[in-house]
Amino acid sequence: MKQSVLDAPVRKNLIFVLPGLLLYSAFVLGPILAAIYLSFTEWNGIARPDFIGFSNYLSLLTDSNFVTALKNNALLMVFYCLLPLFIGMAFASIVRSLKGREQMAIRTLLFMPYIMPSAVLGIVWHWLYNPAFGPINQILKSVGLGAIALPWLGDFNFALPSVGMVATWYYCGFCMVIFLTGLQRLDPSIFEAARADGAGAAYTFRRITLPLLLPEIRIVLLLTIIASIKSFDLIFTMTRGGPANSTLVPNIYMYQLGFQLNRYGYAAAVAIVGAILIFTVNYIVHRFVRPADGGSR
Amino acid sequence: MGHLKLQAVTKTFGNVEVIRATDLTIEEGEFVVFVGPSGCGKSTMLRMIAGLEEISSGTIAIDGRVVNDIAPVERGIAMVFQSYALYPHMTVFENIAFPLRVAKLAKGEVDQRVRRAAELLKLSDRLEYKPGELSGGQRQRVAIGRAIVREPSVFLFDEPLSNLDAALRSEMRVELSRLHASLGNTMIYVTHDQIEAMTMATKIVVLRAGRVEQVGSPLELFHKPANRFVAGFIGNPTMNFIAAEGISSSAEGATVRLSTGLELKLPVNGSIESGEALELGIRPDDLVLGGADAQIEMTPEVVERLGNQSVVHGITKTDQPLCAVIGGDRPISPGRPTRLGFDVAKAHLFRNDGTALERRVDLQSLVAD
Repeated sequence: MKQSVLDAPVRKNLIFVLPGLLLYSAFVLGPILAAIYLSFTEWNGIARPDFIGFSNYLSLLTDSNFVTALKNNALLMVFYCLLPLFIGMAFASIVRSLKGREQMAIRTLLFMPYIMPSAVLGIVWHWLYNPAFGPINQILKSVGLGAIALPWLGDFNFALPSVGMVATWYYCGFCMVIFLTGLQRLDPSIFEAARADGAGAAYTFRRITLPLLLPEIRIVLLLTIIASIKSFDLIFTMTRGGPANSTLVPNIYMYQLGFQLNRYGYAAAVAIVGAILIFTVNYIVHRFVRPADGGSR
Repeated sequence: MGHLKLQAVTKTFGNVEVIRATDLTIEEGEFVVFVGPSGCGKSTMLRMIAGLEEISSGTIAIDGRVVNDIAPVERGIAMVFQSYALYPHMTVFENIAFPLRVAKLAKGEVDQRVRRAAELLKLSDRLEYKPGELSGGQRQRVAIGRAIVREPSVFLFDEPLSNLDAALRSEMRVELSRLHASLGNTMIYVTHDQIEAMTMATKIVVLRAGRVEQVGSPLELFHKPANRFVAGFIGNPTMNFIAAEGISSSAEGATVRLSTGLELKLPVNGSIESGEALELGIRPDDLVLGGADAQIEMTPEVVERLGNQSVVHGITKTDQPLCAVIGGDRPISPGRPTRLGFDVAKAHLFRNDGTALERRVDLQSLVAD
């Protein structure tokens, strides 16, 4: 049999993957390793880094700002993960029942926010939320609801939900598309069988649709959880973590520590904790949200 | 229980009339098969009976009750789908129990009914398995089990065997016939496979382009097809059609002249006119090698040897394609002209519009002991 060039020994074939490997090492693996190293040091970005062991991590445990950032992030997960998941599923059910051009139009409209850079959306929403001349408050005032025309991004209680709602709006179209493909994957006759057996819409959703969409739910959870822990640009362009740290999240805190306070070692520790957090939450999702259709015995 | 009556039932999708006004009565305990080519409306008809598709006009009555606006679950029907429609995340037990859980039956009752159905369908040792772990035949039996536990008056089957291989299909055909014999319920079965229709049905409904072409017993459809379409659709290989011209008709039958020049007197009812364009139909199995009442010369082109029989495809002198099924031990080879004969009593005669002149066949004598 004729041998392919790829049948050569591994060390010879290494040359084919070397360019990619070099780029990966330079721009991904190297910075990761550097960040891990930096997290064990105290470094102002100019002088030589001083190795301080786990001091940065220990300090994080008692850092009230970091705890606030984690709490805010936990709350943001509701807006990044749960709301888009439920709204996306509802949208998918509605859009699936539409036909032809109507379906395509609605699907495109709902998905459109996702194709925009989130930093741009942050700037647009910052303007929409503007207390003085932003359209949201203008509309509220014009319909007689001026009393609730708040300074949304300036209010300590409402800033985080306001930013979160933008994230929900941004991700629900994406979730809808994932669920739509999931629904299209399912054999329509199982829903007809359920109907013929007398199952109502709610019962069918609970006993059939939901369990069969678990693979999509898992994907959505994984991606939105990663997005929520990585969240930076939307918050940076809308509130920069304010007012009074009410929208502070680990990534914003890391930015402030590194690029404003020149505490690169401490900032790296925040980044590493964020990465560990992503791995942990994703492991939990992987472990507990499993496809329900069973494998081999 | 299980009497069904369709009166002037139609179905339109937009401007397309997929089911034309149909009247059909199905008696209690019958095994009725809807058969026809793809797109003839047989599945739509079944879905309308099930209540999964609304009817455009007419009435459907089950056991004397008009069910046009009644939900599927309240019609007293249970349906088995082509793709089995099993819930992949549920065990066999839960799949079969699903309609009973929907109906909120007591746990003990659910358990009892599911185990009874599983025993009947030889699934007792598979109750804790999931559909993905079962063979095609077992999945099909689970789907049937889910229908059985509801104790419906009418079972509806939508091409349930089409996803199975040939051997399993023939096994399941026998199992379904046994099931019908043991349950005694009315069963309506959709298929495009005429072998399934002929072997299982007590009554066959042949459909074409949304219209019922003929309703009758398998033997009636085979021996007395109402028209050329039914004659061609029922029977494998399909019937040979040879152009003919009417000469005269009398009490003994109709005299015609074939395109090959042969003159024949066929024992059929109805009169024909001299010069009327007709078609003679003869089934490949009714052609024999050598002498008989009527003879046609054919040059075999392809001989398919099946062992016990050979299927011969060839052409006549007038370039008329012809197919014959002869004994597997008879000498025949491609390219060598062969004389085939047939008994005129077995021939069919069709008018130009496709309608058949009724053959004089006593169907009772065909099924008598």
